[in-house]
Amino acid sequence: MPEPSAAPGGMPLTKRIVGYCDPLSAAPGDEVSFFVSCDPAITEFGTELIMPRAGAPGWENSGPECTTVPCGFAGVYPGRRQEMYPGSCVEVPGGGAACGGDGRVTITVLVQPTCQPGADQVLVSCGDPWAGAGFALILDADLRPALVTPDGRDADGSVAMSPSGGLAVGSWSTVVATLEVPGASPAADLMFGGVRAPGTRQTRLHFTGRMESPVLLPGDVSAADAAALLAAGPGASDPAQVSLAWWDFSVGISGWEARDLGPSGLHGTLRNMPMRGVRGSRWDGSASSWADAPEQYAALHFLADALEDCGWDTAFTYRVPDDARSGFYAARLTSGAHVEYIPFFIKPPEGATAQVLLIAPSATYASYGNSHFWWENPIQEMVQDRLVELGPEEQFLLGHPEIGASSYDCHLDGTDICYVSRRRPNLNMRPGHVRREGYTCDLYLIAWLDHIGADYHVATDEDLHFRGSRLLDGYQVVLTGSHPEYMSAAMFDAFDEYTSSGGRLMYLGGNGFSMSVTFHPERPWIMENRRVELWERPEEFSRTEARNSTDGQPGGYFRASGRSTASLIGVETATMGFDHSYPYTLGAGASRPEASFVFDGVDPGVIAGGKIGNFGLLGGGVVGQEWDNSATFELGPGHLILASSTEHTLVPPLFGAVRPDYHADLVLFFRGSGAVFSVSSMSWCGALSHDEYDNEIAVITGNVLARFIDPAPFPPPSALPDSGGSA
Amino acid sequence: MGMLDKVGTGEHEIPDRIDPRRTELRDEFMADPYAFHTADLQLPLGAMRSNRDLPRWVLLTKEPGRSWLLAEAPKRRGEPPRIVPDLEFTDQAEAERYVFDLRWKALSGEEAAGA
Repeated sequence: MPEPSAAPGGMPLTKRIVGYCDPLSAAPGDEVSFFVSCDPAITEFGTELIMPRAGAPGWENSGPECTTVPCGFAGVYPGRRQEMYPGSCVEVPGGGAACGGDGRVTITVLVQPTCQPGADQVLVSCGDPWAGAGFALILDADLRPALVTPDGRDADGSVAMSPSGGLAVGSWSTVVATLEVPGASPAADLMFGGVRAPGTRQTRLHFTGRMESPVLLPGDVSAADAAALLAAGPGASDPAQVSLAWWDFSVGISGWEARDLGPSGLHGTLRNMPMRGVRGSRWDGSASSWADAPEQYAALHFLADALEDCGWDTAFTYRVPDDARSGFYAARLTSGAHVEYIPFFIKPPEGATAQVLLIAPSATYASYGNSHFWWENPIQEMVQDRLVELGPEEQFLLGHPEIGASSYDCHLDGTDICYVSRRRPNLNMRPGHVRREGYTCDLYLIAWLDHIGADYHVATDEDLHFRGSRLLDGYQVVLTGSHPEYMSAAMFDAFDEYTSSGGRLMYLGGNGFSMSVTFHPERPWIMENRRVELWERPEEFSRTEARNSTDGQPGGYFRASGRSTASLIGVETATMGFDHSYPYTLGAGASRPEASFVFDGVDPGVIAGGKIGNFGLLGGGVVGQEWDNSATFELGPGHLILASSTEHTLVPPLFGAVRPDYHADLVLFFRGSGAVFSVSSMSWCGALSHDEYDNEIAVITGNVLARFIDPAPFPPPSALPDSGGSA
Repeated sequence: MGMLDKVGTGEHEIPDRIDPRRTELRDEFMADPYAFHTADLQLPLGAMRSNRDLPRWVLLTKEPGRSWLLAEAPKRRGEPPRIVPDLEFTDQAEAERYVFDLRWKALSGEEAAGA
């Protein structure tokens, strides 16, 4: 075999145009802004508005089916490259004022590096000394603290640390520098964790690790005295009296402000999502949550590869017309053979209803956005039993690490990513992405809804989070997408309230209602996802840093907050396997008279054969990828197991099983006066278009939708027999 | 007793090495890389794919649904993948067979018969 090498021409099919929009979901009257960056070879691109669908025969090679929608932004635009500048930091506008007076100033801060990247990292900067003005307190490539001025390193000051020696990865030290402020303008900005090039939005030399209590003190202060001051914390002294400025990161952990307790109130703003709610230097093991003892969680975890907002210039905008139909949309950008889709959603105006509301699982789209684990973790090839294919989107990610990764990945220091932002291209959320699960699979569902002429609206997880159950009011049926794995507690409770009060829910996916995330009220483009049970780091982090900084709720599985997925949808996640998919085998519940409507019109030969859904675009069956069952909880009245999967390969038990019994269950669940139909598998929707939509899965799904739309009540659960178990 | 009944009994363990005498496993894979494989084959496949000392092979799409290049995924984020020159597949199954033989040799120490 010839020796592999980095291809001189780069990737064979990387994307040349990428973009994002804001907001992701818009109602009639709202304006959506689109942001685009092009490879330098792309001098212009055309735009149009489309409604994407997928699932017709041969669509994988021909591309998604798109209906073009007239819009004002259709046209040709100049291409230009726009850069991304990752790296978390705190900006203090005009912070130089705190150290701009006469005499000497001491800067001190608690520092815990979490990796050694082998390059300079800025702890504190004022101006940009490399550009000729200001100073910076840095760690050099060997994690030794140094002061940088326009004259060089340590030219006009002294730097010390406690304990002495050098900083060590994983250990807290106090870094102290005393200097004559060398030309820093009182109007200059301070920055923690990086330095900004003058007059630009470019930041660089970002720090990776934790910092706590950056403090400016008047005059010379010894390392020992500074260490003692910081060790005691701001509560032991009066920062307004003893300091020029004292930023206490334990204040306002749920927000994005760095509070200055000093005399000038020079509050800072967090950029690029430094992690909050993390243990600081004063954590003593007595607290397991920042909400219980914020002073023990007074650190910020700075991450040099975190990206919150590309901050690109707007390429074009779209005002959603008053008569716009709710649904899945995308701006399609083309330049020759190069295509980019920027998906978004049009939600109904407040108060409008249709028969059906589909909640697009945007929290799950966000969680998987820009995933790197497909090629960084070898388990993926085992789970899918085939080589991992990297399409144009992954090839772009490989060449552009600055775009950031997903909540399934780690930062460069091994810290599990817990904030993701939609103000950057989400390249997993693309029609025709090489991996069909998630967004593309939901386009199969959209295509089917349009095929049957359903009267439906679309809203997103983010919409449901902020509006709660009011969003669901008035709809006879609510549908999920194919993989609503992540949702917020507010969303979970909205579904619970809806079905408890007579609503009908069709859970059309797998591994749904599993893990808790939340959206930030001040910066709704940021979603927090502390999937702590699946973190890569040692268990001590999962145990002590599991609380969302955004709302103080526990991350991870919903059971941590006392919410029962089984009680809501009648199943819980079982396992995964992306190698093959399987049919369902009909069980005793399928013969119950209460379930007869489900199978009306299904070919009697199929019923007699006992199996349904032995086909589909996702693995060749309706049970596949990730699925759920009812194996570990008591079945009450009204809980009917209609079918179960019965045969699997070794992939699920070896690589994905979260419980010993890992079959899938198709469930009809009468819940109070409401009802839930749980297909319990991510692959179900991939079967809808089989044989031109003439198949038992489309019939069953349509039967349930029609019956759920029908307002006629279901028999009360107490009048129903127990399910009698599975097949 | 079905295949799944044996899981957890210790009967199914991913081995560290491949027994070069098990040529029937290679024959099974070569017949159809995407078929439902026997447990006897699934386990050495797990060994091949999970071994962290071997290159992590991936396919780079060159033309969607039509052609692919074979590459080693980078070990560090930000590094480029290393592409095997002068090798292009127009059938993903052929790429699977090619990589299978690379791994067979690496984990058994012997060239696969017929490779």
